[in-house]
Amino acid sequence: MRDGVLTGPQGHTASLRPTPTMVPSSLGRTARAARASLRQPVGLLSAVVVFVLATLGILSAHIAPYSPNETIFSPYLPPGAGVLLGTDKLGRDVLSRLIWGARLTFYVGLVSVGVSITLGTFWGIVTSYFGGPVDTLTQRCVDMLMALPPIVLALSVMAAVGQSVNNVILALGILLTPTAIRTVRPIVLSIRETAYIEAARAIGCSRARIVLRHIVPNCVAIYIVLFSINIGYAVVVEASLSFLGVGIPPDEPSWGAMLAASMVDAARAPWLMIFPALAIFLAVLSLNLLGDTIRDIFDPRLRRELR
Amino acid sequence: MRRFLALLSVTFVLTALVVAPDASAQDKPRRGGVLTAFINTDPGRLDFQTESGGQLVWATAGIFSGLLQHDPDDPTAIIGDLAENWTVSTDGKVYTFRLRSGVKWHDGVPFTASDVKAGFDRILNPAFRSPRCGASLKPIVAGVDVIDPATVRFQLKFPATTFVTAMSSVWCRVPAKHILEKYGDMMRPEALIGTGPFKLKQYVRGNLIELERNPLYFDPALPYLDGVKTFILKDAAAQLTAAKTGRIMLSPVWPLLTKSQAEELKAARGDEVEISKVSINIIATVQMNLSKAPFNNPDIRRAVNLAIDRQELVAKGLDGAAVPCALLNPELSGEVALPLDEVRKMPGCRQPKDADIAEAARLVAKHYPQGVEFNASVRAWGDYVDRAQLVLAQLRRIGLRGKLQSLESAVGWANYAKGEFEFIATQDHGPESANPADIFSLLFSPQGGRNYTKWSDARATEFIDAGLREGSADKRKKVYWELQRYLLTLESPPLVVVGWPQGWFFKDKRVRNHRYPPSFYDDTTYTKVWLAQ
Repeated sequence: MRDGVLTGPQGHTASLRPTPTMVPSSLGRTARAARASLRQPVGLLSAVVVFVLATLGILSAHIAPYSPNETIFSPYLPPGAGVLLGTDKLGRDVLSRLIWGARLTFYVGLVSVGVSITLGTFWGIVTSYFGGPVDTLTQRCVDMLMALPPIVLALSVMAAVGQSVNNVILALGILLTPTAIRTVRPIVLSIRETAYIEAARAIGCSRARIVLRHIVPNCVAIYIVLFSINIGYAVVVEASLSFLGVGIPPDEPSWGAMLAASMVDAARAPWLMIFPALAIFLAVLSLNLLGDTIRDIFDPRLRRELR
Repeated sequence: MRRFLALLSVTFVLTALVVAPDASAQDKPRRGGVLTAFINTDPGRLDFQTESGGQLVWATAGIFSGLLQHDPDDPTAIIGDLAENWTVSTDGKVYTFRLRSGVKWHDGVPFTASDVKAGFDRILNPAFRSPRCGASLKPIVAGVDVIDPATVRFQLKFPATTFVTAMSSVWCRVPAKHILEKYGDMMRPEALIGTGPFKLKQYVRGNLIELERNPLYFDPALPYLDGVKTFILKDAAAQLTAAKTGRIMLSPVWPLLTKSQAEELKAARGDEVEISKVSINIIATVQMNLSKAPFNNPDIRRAVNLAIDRQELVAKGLDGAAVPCALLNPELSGEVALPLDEVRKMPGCRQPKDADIAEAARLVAKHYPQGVEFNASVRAWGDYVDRAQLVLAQLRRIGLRGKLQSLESAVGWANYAKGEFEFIATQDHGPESANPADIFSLLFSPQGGRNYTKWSDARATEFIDAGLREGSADKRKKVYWELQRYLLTLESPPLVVVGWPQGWFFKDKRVRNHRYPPSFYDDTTYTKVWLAQ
């Protein structure tokens, strides 16, 4: 952390300076966000790509030409009419598997990040505000978890609990929750010492009320930033775990697993490698750029520049 | 000038003769060098008497010796190993082995007949699970006696034709009595003390198993190699890359290369490697747990047998290289194998499959109108996961919806052995020897090491027993034909035979005198293998 600017797991930065201006009216924020987005075409384009991929995922059952596990074609058909992106070793339609893979990727990304960032943020707010032994214990646990290389930690969790979609979400949750706890802590500590919190205490507000009415709203911006920048990260970790064969079960279509399976056939059927790699690349790049844009919108200093 | 040119030419010729490698020298065994090979999963559990996975013996076979062995120079012949010679009683029920003198274990302790008795008593104990050697010998061996420190006698229950082949198997090697007494089993690396040509140098879990020459080996001229490094390469792409770059010199017997991989390797290394297409004695199956729903229902097992499209599995899962449906492969078992024309007409194998699939769907709908879900297991090994997905895709067509769980190889073995599975979506089995009796003992005998749910059928057991006892080749053939017909037409079989995979081996041309024996397991002692310069 430098000058109140936090560096995230992928080098993203976010302002931690609490200010009452970070809680404007929702209408004003939306309007400003829309204006700022239009001034950031890369962010807008990323949002479009993410929207398209997410829509494909959500509507996969209706959009995908075939079931992802249907083995009705000949193996290794190159891209062409009938099978737009070709078929794999077992005669499955690559396009259908990619579309179903998008569903799984976004489901795992959204749920894991949603749960872990929400939990981590709330836990971080509560323990940081109240302090004491629970806070100390929490911080030492966070230290321990963050000392482990992320992928090693995720692999260990998966080795312990076994392969399943929910277990991937659990592994990602264990990976991401400490980040949220650690990120909100300095914000809460600094808000705790501000005059308006002192004033709230003076007029007899309960601690629960102070947390819910004054601390939590001031952390919404960083919550949104954390949420947006970590989805791309979650997608990469999920793809990595599946690539290593410990993530999503093999019969579920996952981009990482598709990429891993393609390695053996790279020379024979390069499309099996190209399309999942492209999907992961597009999704992660778009999510990261979108996260950066959201961060820029919520960062008061950058927002001023954008104006 | 002319004299100078003539002199120069003579010099060139002489230099070439001196420098060029001597072809005959290349064909003579040469001492030294380290052979590199690979296995595609860590054996994890190292006790060859209790385990059944090939990767264990492929990496450690050279550590132990048996009483008998396949001749390294002619693997179709069986010769003495720790046994200098042996005699058979006139009734064929008593085998007496005279042991080599002066043999020592790797730790210097002398080898005696009591080691042989301790090792075989262990696996013949009815309470002891020994899926390989134990499964072969328990039905036929009554007991083992020490006559003197250099003589041991095996008393058979009946004159069994399979005894000698079983004893030559890599799974029937002799462990050290003092090591078993010290550790209780051979699971830990320090318990891998044998009398074989190599001893364990290091075992780096998940990475490498390295053997080095045993200086105490009873034949001081052998082995030729200084050592063998077996890398654990789980990923097929990594295996192929290692072969293409020359990092590994040899395929293990399994998994075989596919045709496209063989072509890729040939293109990369040209004449530096020998590539050959082979049939090996390994059978691919799909297995059901008879005690767990829905497979405890005979109709569902029948439906699975009818619905699985063996030909599609061979075409897509095995790259087209396999003999589908057969319980015995004619290429390996000759006339004992039921003719393929007859096999192809059996339920589940016959084409087109429309009628079989319709019947299978009807059977499932009879008990589960909305279909049924089940848990399928597969060991994450070779191309198993691909094949398993194909099997599940076929079963979904009849309303059986499997959720696939891929298991780390050693975990898979342990689960299967304990019966902790509902459905094994694919598993290959290699009988101990090329003897047709072994495949039936392994899969269909109640004691069989791969008969995970202890399926038992009086008629099948009767046939298996008759095959073991029958001395006449013609009568044996008849027994085995009837047995194959019976098993392939079972209404609700315990397993589905997919077929006998084929594939491509590769061998670096520097590797000399390496021969693939008829058995799936017995080629990795490397006793007489040597490396050309």
